[in-house]
Amino acid sequence: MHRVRLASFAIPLTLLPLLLAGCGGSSPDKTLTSVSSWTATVHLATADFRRRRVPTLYATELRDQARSALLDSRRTLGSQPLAVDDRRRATASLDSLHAALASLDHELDAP
Amino acid sequence: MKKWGELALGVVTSIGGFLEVGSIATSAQAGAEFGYQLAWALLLGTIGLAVLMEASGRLAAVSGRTYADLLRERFGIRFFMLPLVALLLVSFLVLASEIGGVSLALQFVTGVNLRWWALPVALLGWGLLWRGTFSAVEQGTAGLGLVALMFAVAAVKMHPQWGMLGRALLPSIPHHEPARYWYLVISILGASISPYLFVFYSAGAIEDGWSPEHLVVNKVTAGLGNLFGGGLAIAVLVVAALVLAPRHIRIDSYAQVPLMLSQPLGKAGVLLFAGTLFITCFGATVEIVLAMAYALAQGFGWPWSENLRPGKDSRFASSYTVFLFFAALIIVIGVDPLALTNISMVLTAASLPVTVVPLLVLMNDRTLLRRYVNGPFANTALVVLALMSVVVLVAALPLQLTGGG
Amino acid sequence: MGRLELANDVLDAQLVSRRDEKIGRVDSLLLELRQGRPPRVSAILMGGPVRAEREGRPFVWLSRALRAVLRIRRSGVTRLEFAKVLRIAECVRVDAEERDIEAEYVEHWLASHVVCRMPGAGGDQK
Repeated sequence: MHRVRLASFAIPLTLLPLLLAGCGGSSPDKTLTSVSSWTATVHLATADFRRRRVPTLYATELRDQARSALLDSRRTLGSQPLAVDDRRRATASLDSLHAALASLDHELDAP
Repeated sequence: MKKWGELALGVVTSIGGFLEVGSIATSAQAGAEFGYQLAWALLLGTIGLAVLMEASGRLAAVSGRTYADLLRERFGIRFFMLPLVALLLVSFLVLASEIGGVSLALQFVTGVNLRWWALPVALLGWGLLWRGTFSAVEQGTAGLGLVALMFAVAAVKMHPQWGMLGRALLPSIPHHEPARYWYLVISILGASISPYLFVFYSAGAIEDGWSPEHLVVNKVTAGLGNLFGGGLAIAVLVVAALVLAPRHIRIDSYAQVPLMLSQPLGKAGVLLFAGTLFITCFGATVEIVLAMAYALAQGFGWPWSENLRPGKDSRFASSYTVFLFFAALIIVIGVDPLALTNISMVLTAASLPVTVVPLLVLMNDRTLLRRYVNGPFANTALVVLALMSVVVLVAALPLQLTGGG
Repeated sequence: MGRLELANDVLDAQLVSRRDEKIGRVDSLLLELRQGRPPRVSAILMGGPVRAEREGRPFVWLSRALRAVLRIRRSGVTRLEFAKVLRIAECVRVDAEERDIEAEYVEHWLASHVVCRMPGAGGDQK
């Protein structure tokens, strides 16, 4: 019974580290994967919007989310120490997402 | 005739009831990152849930007692606190993510940020629970939940490779990112086999007045209903595999999920997705909060029933009111629904041992179940599930650290 | 002659009033020690403080802290004489009314001060 009493606390104590682990930050590789994923997302959204496959409201929301992801990624990568090649790769990735967003903006603003 | 009606209703409820914010997110992530490969995890989760729901339904129908009630009585207050605390903690997070799911659906169609929708959604759920009977709650979203069938339509329209999908129903080793692969397996299991589901199901059997005459209805509802529901989750995986995976799109935000439906379903895809998300997550919201209130009330011996006016079961009614309000606040303060879903699915999977193992013990108690105790097949299935749940508990933290999104 | 196991059949069992209202659970049993005679079960104890004692010291502290914060002066413990037990089966029926149970104080307070002031809360069945 003493063991059972201890176990009553073992459950929250086991689950608590899991909860905290879920709140952890991103590594540069994870951030870059996310950036290239968002770039592909924006390309797909742009193509679908051109073909009238997505509503304007949704495309606008997606653009806003992607822009927010771009800003967060810039901030994250900017604060991390990266080797020269990695910094170049990161800049190119961020620029790709920026360019993709500009295309989507153009489609959304077009009459 | 009435039994056939109950059967049909049970199956329909399960079809839409299987999908909710967790299963949609985990299935879509699995499809986007690993193609068809994780279909076996969905099948395993579906079968696991069917076995557990059938057991808890049989327990209630034969003994006339709910799972939470028997957990307290047979294992005592000291042990009971273990599954109770685990269930409340984990279900609270899942509840918040479901409210987030409904709010997201409203954001997709109105453009108004989901944080503004969380409290109104909680209020809507509360209103249904406060005024509605158990039948109203159970059946309210049953027929509407069939809108989730649009995932099946979308999957078929994408012309999947059926042979490859069939082979993916068998377990496989990942070709890349093993930590991420196994992390998603655990997430899928957590999304499919949620303890709140069988707490709710066994309480529902008592609310509906089930007896041993309902054992066939129970088997068909738990088995067929969940198989159809699991099929829908596999359809989500298939669509993500065919639309997102080839483009290397990983799901970092819920906003990316509707995009996978634009290819097969056009503009209607986004709207149908919003409708599905709204209905399935709303249904899950009321189920989860009721399960939490049932567990508390039954465990401590309070009056309880959705068919009683709140004045007759004040602590029960106050419990679901408080849980709904605070869960909505989590979304109001800006916690990301997808991040919340991801962590709560893993936590759910990790908490399974304390709810599955006691059920195994109860299902072999002849004083409760008489000749309806588990046979060798049911016992084998439950033992396998119990062992699997322990493995998941041990693996959850390392995989969250190495493979968590 | 029938048999009952106190731990399995009585402890933690659902308690119902003579009118079949749920009034909590058997949280503990009191044995009366009698000089020169065998001990006997004298009472059923119910209530948060009683449960906390069984759950362990941290729960006792938590229970005391909550009662201090909420300024609950009532004991929260009900003692039901075992002689009032009418029947022990899937639940324990006692010769008492729900309003006599001190441990159900929270239910009464919530019903009269909060729940019944809201629309749709009154009456019996929905």
